[in-house]
Amino acid sequence: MSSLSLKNIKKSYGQHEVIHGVDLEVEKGEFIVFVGPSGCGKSTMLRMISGLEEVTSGQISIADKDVTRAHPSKREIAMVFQSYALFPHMSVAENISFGLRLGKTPKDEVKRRVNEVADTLQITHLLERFPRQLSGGQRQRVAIGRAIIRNPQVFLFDEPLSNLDAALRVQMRLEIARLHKRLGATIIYVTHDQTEAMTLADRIVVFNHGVIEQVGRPIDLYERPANKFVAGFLGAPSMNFIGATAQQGAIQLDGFNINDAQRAEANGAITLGIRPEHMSISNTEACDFSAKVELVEELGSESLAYLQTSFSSDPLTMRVDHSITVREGDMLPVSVNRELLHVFAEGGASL
Amino acid sequence: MNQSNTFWRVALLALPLSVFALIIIWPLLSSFYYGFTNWNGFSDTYDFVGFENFGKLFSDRLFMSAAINTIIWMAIAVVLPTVLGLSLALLIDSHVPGGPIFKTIFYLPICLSAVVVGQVWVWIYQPDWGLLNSIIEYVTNDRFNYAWLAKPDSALYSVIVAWSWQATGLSMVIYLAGLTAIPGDLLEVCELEGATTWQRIRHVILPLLTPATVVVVALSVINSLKGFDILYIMTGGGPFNSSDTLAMHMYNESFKKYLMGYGSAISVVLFLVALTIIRLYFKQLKKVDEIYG
Repeated sequence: MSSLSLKNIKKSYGQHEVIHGVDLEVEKGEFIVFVGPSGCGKSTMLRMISGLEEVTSGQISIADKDVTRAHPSKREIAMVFQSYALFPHMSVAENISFGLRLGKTPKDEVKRRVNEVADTLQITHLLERFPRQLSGGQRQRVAIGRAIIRNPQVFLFDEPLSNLDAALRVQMRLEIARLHKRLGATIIYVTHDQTEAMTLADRIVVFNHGVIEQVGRPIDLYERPANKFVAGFLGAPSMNFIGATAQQGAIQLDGFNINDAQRAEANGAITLGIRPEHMSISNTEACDFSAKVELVEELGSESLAYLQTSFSSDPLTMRVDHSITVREGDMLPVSVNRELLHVFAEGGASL
Repeated sequence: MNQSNTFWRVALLALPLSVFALIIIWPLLSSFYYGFTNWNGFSDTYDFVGFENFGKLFSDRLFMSAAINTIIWMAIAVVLPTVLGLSLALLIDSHVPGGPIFKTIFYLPICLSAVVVGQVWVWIYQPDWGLLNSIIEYVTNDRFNYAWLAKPDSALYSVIVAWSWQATGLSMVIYLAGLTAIPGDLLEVCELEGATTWQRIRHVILPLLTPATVVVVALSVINSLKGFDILYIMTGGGPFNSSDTLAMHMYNESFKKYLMGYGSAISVVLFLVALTIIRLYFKQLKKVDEIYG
């Protein structure tokens, strides 16, 4: 059974179309992450699923029920906002039980369910407090609690960790992953943070300019990006792109010993894509190119070396193990893992 | 550097402070001073009478009725402009057609002086051809020429309605600002949770408008204590002192009966009442700030 189905969803503001026909099937219990740069349409898509934003055309189904024109409260969804959206004048317990109280649920049941949820999220000791008395992480837990208590078909998370500091974000990320495992709920999660996307998702949906660029498992998107945009968006530091040419499948680039790399479909102007972790300092005389180290960033477990080359105007980023000492100004022989080399046609499609 | 800073601080503060002292502090202290005298307002000599003026307040029938009228005014001032201003703000905020035009129209009375508003309402209440009686005649299809401002039963309330008409615009604007400050996602939570319009107003909007309500109520109460100019134009406190307020009574005693000492004592009482209310207001504001700030 499909938990959520989007069919040819379009959204326009006046004459301006921002979502250009999105199709997606989400299975029950799946953790789907919408990812993409600011303004790509991921949040608009989430808001259309929630019903807070109207769909211009297309069909949204939740648990096989058409909810395209249904009121947000009738869609069996729950949403967690970036700003937490907690009522400042209500205690934690009142915030969590807000929906139940509106629906005139008996007091005993409200209390029982609030306690259950608080227990799940380990916030029982905070129930009588007000939002202003909570830390960012605790507030986010309360917001999640308000979502859980609705027992929805689909959870919608709109950049829920953006307001937290780096350390807390990692912790909350872990908690959300645990929660997903425990509840087995379907989750649609919007973020612009590709680390969140890679670590949390069963499948990632990459948005750009109102269309889906690619849908797939995080590792598939990382290893086999459909195009240059996806390749550049996923992975940190991002992939190095180098302009080159190809003639009948043979790649040519002055200063880069790459003639042996073949792509049958490649012809004319192409772009090579090399991830920083797929370059290494060559131990032998035979290397792919020589590069001068422009800058080194020490990250502790590893370093990032920015390399000047004769064939790329932008410096190339290379990941270097911390056991190897690299200094600014060094000339390095660099090898590239051929099997992990990406080639993109002029339009950006992966070859 | 520090010394010249201090010099400029003192120099820049000196001008506004001296103006403030001259037009606020000096008259205030003078009122306190004259409250203990029997000065008539113009003669060179007067005697100190101690607390006699203040004692007289308790036996002054007119003072008592003015105090009661002020309390009535205050009570209605808390309810009428608050409820009307809130209702109008909610209506305009719900994007009714022509909202911005109505906003301007409702705000317009604020821009008028109380004298103009008073005169407009004198015409509205005019028994023979006033707007109010004309409408009543039109609706009931019967002759109606009740003299709203000339009857002791209705004079005070008629003035309060006119005053509230002017005050409503200000409450509306304060509430509109309050509504704008309510985060949109809180209202979206209401939508997701299936709250009805009434539930949204009752459980979310009204509590979140508490800071605005505190300001509106405080301003209404403080302004109602000053209820003088519009009253002066519309009834002058009459008929038979039925619409006298403390401010009006103070004016009459000081400038009509030339009992400046006694009038000053009334003004001291008014000042102390206002001070208490302002203190309560700031206390409440602090509490509200702790919750919503």
